[in-house]
Amino acid sequence: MTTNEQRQLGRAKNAILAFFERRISVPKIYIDAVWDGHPIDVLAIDRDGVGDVHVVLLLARDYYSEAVLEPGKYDQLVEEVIDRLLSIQAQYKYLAVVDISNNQNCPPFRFSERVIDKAFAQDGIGKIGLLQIDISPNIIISPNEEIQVRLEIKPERFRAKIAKLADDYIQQHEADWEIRA
Amino acid sequence: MQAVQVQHYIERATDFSRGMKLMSDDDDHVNSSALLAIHSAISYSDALRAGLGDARLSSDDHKNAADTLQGLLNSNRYKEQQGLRHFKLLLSKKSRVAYSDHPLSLTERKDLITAALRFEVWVNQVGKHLNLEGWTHDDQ
Repeated sequence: MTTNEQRQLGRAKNAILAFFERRISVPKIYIDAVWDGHPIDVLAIDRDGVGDVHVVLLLARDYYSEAVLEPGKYDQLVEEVIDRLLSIQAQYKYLAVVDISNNQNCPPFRFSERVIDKAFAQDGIGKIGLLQIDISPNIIISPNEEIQVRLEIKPERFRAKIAKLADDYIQQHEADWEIRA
Repeated sequence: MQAVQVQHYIERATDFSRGMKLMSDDDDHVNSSALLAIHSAISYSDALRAGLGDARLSSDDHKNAADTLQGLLNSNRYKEQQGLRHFKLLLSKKSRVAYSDHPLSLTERKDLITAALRFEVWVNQVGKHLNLEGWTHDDQ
């Protein structure tokens, strides 16, 4: 990973933190977490640690990368991340595509029908949310403007018996963002 | 049955809380967000009371809600009661927000939202520590 990609993904993680801070009640939010053995870019546990668990995996999209230049290759990467998400225990799961392309000719990313279909749990109970974050130079962001997280496909709740896992996690880790009583 | 009632009030409380947050930076919805802050706290208090076995809920008279909750916590020998002060503040402002002829300032709104968020954190800690049935969101 290049320094630029690392920096842009860091900004995207912060943007997702702000997204959760606004959308869920009083979450504890962790950046670069390891949840049940899986590396997670952003983890949020609602209601001060007793509510639903939300996990986010990021996938950078750079116009110059081989994956973006070769047709179908990037969708394959997206599907691999979806497979990883499906194997993680959480009530809400999200894939965030982070566009860091430094090229104005790069066409905007769209989630394919195949990817959207794959985002469902096999039994239909649960659907991965699909997010897009554009921090490429094509998007003009004023210095005081926040990076926007677009919810392209709304998630649906998965089944997960993970209260004990969440209890242990919040005991052992300090949150990167939380509200104190 | 108690767990179902607890979850019902928690869902209502989080619904109000999310609405409050959505409008928290919007200067066109100062009263709406402040009122949702208060009602979120009332619903959370109802959830806690239901979990502690209090059947006298859903009253329009919320003036005594904080005292009732305090009584229930005392009965359960729960000493960490610092969240009650946020609840008392929110309840004391209910008429002011909903009916007063004086406009609510942005600072007052901000204080109410902060109180609601802190109360929400505290309530969730109480529910968890007292291991109330239906409090956690784990699937059955």
